[in-house]
Amino acid sequence: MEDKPKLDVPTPKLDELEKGPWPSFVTEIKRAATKSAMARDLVRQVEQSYNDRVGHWKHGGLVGVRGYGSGIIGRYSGKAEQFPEVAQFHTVRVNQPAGWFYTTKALRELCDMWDRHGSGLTNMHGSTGDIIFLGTKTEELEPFFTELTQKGWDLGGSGSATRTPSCCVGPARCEMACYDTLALTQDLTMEFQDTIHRPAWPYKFKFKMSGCPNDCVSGIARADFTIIGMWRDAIRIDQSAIPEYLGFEGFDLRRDVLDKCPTKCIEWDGKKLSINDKECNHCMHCLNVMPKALRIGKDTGATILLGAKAPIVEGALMSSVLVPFMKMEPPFTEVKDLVQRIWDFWEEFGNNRERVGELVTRVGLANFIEAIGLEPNPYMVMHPRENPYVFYDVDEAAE
Amino acid sequence: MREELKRLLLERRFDEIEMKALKDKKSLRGMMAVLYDADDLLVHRAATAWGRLALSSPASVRRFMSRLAWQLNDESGNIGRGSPLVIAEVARANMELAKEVVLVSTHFLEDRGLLKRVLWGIGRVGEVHPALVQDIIEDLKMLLADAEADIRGMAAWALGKIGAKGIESSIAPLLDDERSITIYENEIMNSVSIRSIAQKALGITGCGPAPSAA
Repeated sequence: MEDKPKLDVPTPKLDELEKGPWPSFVTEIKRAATKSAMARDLVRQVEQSYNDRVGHWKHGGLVGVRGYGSGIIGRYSGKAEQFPEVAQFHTVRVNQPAGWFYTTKALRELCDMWDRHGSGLTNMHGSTGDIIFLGTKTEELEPFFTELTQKGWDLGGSGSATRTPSCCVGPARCEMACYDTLALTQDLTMEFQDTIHRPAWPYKFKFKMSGCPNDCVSGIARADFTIIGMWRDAIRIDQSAIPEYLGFEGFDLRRDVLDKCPTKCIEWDGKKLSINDKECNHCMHCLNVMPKALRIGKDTGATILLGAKAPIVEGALMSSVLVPFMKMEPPFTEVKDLVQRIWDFWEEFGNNRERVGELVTRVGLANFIEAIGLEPNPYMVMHPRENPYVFYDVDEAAE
Repeated sequence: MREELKRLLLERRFDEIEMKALKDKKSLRGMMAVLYDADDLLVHRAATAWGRLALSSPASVRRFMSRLAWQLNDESGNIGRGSPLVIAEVARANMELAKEVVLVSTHFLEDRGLLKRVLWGIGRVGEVHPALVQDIIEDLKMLLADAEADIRGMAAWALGKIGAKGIESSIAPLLDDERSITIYENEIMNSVSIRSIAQKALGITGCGPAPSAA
């Protein structure tokens, strides 16, 4: 293992976070501190925070680049006299490529830019999905932005804006992808550029695209609008591949697959595996365990869910199904129209700091779907097979 | 939408903007987006358009007022750069719409990135509601000695608009200040010397050059 970098200032508390088997952010900041004065003062301030048991960052003024209202998060040290190099330590969000695919040349280009204009510290990637550049001074923002955009990159979203759409690796690397998550992410990013860079919403709005119900970007738990790949026909079964699994040491088809099926829709008669697809709830378990024998269906598209949020302290919401199935093919007109209808409603009736899911909870799903022009559907449930909403108009029912 | 609004603003076609805003909700979204534009004139013109809407269609403007104030306080990377201008113009046009947020901008007198627009907003509101801004007269007087010409000039302009009393000794040094700043008035950006702004604030007439369009 590489030697841990040594600083000429004692950091006994932070040193504790370098122990153990896992990579340590402290080690990485210390490594950067051998070259960057900002990183050096960052180490010192964080050590001070552990001593004082209080964070020493403060909100000291609005910062940004001209023409944009988001992408930069102003951060200032509350101990600027003690740690002058981090007096201003702004975070910059850069729009990541769909699926986080880079060439090494692109990564070097990004890091070189940040070495010139910032602390050199990065977070690849933040929970938002963006490339996060940590720590720069106000005077460096415009020069950095100019260089960044000249090289074809752009800032991501922050504040009450559409946040940078993000997606899983999709069909580029995964056989489970039911639609091209990368293409949709690129399309939505370009289509809704203005709302990413110029905050105009009551609060943040997040898109996340997962190619299948494995939901590798965890959209169901944290995005306002999640597009999860789905198939609506039968799981494809390659019976000839099953004996190979049965030959794996420790593999037990009944224990590892059949008994773990939440709807018990898989049967095995000793020769043939069969699935009652009408009962399948697309949990993905069997496909994940036996990817060579089982494949997603051919009639693919996506399920659209609405309304998650994952705040740090309290009030987390999971999203629920809004559209059970929608074909997801360029130019993605149907999904973009739906987004616009949702935005029209949320923008008009949403309170400040009210995510779209909270608005739906407040006004009721029935009112919401009527306003955005969707028909009630039994799939609009919080959890499959429980807690169904029942919609009916009293007069219509009487007739 | 934003590009079309920008064109209409540049051509000062405010009536058409009002018509659009009444017909299509997305126009108001576009009007929010223009507030982040890099062109100072466009942002000010957008604020003018918001003020006109506050008169002709108060219901459509109402819900945006708290949002504009929230954008100034959002700590997750929002920059309510246009908020002080719009809030001021709406307050001038229809105080009922802005009464809860009209003074929010005055909490940003230490925010250098926002200060010039905050001062402009204070001047605009103070011109028609001087009593509202009396508590910050002393803060404005302090800014008359600011090292940045834009700030001391705007502070003098705001004090003049408010018609503040007892500012003679504080503003006197600016009577020799030959630096010029740009101020949005009468729907254009004007280049004005700080000296003439100070003279105007003190009620000295006939001394300054006429504003020229910039």
